[in-house]
Amino acid sequence: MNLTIKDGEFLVLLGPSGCGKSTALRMLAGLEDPSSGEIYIGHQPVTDMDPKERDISMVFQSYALYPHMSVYENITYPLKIRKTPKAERKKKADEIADILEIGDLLNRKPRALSGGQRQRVALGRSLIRQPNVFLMDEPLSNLDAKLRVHMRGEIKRLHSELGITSLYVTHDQTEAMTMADRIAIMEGGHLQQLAQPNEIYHKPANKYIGGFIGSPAMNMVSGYWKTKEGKIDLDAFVWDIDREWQEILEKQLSGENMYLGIRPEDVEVSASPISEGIEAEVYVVEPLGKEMIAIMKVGDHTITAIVEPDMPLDMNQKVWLTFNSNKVHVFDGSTEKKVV
Amino acid sequence: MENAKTGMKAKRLRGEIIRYITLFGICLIVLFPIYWMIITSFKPAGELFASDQTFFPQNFTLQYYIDPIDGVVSSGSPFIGFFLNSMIVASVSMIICLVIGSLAAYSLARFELRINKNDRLSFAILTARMLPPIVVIVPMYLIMQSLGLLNTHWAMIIVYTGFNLPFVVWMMKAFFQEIPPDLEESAMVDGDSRMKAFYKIVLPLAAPGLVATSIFTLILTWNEFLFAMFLLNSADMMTLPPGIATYITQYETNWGELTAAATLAV
Repeated sequence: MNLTIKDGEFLVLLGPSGCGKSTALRMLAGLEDPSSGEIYIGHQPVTDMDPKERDISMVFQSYALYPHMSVYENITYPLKIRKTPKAERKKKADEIADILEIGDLLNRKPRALSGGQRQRVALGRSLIRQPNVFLMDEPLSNLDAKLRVHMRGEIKRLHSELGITSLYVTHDQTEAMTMADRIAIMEGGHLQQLAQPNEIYHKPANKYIGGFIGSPAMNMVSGYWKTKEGKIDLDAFVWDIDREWQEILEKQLSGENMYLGIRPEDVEVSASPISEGIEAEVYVVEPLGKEMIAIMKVGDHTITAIVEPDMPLDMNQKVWLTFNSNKVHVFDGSTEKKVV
Repeated sequence: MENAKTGMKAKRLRGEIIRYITLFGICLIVLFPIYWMIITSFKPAGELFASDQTFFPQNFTLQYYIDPIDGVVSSGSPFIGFFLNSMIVASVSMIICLVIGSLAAYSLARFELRINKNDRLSFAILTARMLPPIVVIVPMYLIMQSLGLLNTHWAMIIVYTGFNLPFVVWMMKAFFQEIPPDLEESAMVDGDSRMKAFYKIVLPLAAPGLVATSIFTLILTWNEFLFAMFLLNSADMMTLPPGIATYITQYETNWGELTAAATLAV
């Protein structure tokens, strides 16, 4: 894995559990030894350094607050280790407590705090000494949904105020999309794509990322590229494509197997027949208030679409689907890389 | 419905009563010798061997407690000396045990051996406790003899440390495994070395375990008779268990002094 984080950047390492993202973070922190490779912070090689020499700070998923110390002692612990004078410690603790709004909790023990408060204390402890690099290992995953959304904003705000280079590990794509300057997606121990959130969403590098990012997930339909006929055969229907596409597919595809990816919001659903539309049958509809998710069957394929909330759709009703060919993603059948 | 409820209650009450009676009976059996020891230590010599034994001393005496302090002891064995010897041996070996044992336990709890055999190593440590002490008493005697440590406190400290270490390692290992590793990792990221994180974060959290373990080792050492009997032979070096045994002489047993000393030792 080769990954460079820019100075002052907020980079999110995103991936399913067990993909190696936490291990990567722990290697950067010095808590685990890489079996090979080099790690640099700034221009300094830190591969063989102890965690304490790296000038990093880290927020753990469990917060790892010291249970036998008060909030104040927890927050000032990094300063105490560095033998900062007492008066300065007090001043900095007050500053941090102000920013994080935990001023009235300073004398409490961690066990007397709520999840959100613990989270703030953990953030405070990491931020108090202005580290070179700020690491966060799924810091929001132990909070309830409402608090998570709130803290997401708070952390983003803090980052823009303090400008500390940050690496944030999560398996939650919403957190990644909302907070990141750039997202690095990992799977199976490998870096799959490193790009800005919008680019990841609109130009996924491969089939895995296309399916991983976005909710509801991208429709993924397997098909065959018929070179001679200039058509894509998707079992249930055949898609005629224009010259330009034909040339690209001809050049880029390694075989005739391919996947077609279409985001649910790019699928148009019509209750009345359309000549070039694909005939489908409504399987189930899920109203969400501001929009509605319609799941339809085309032959053996399941297609999900986002439609207007007031669209009258019944189960088993016949509908016709169309999609904008500019919004369609084509992935190679064997390498799974994005072709178009 | 109401009947069934009271029936249940009565049944539970009966169970409770039976349980307490049983417990009381067991306590009686266990505690009686100790009670007898204590009252014997307060009985004057005449009463000790009287034909009608009483459950409480008729003529209360503190003679056996005062005599050793004045040094007037028929057997010539200084109780205070035994007591001090026991204190020195037990506390020094306990401290060494805790220092070595908790460090060993911490590494077993946190690190994997390169050959992945942590469980076997833990087990190997425990094997030191598997031989009955009587089996190793002769080799131990010869080792101490060749080291020139016979009849010294060091001999006892070394033996007790060796025998109690496995207990300390196993008990402390369990305590350390309960403490999430995130805590010391966090301390290390905050700027501590591994050793400092252990000392400042992990040890305070394992304090209840440390106390329990130290009491445990203290009791084991305090009561140990066999090694002390063999490795110490002069009265001024003896710990309490063999020391008290010296009240039993070839010709007579000084029951009063013996029980008084034993009462104090307990």
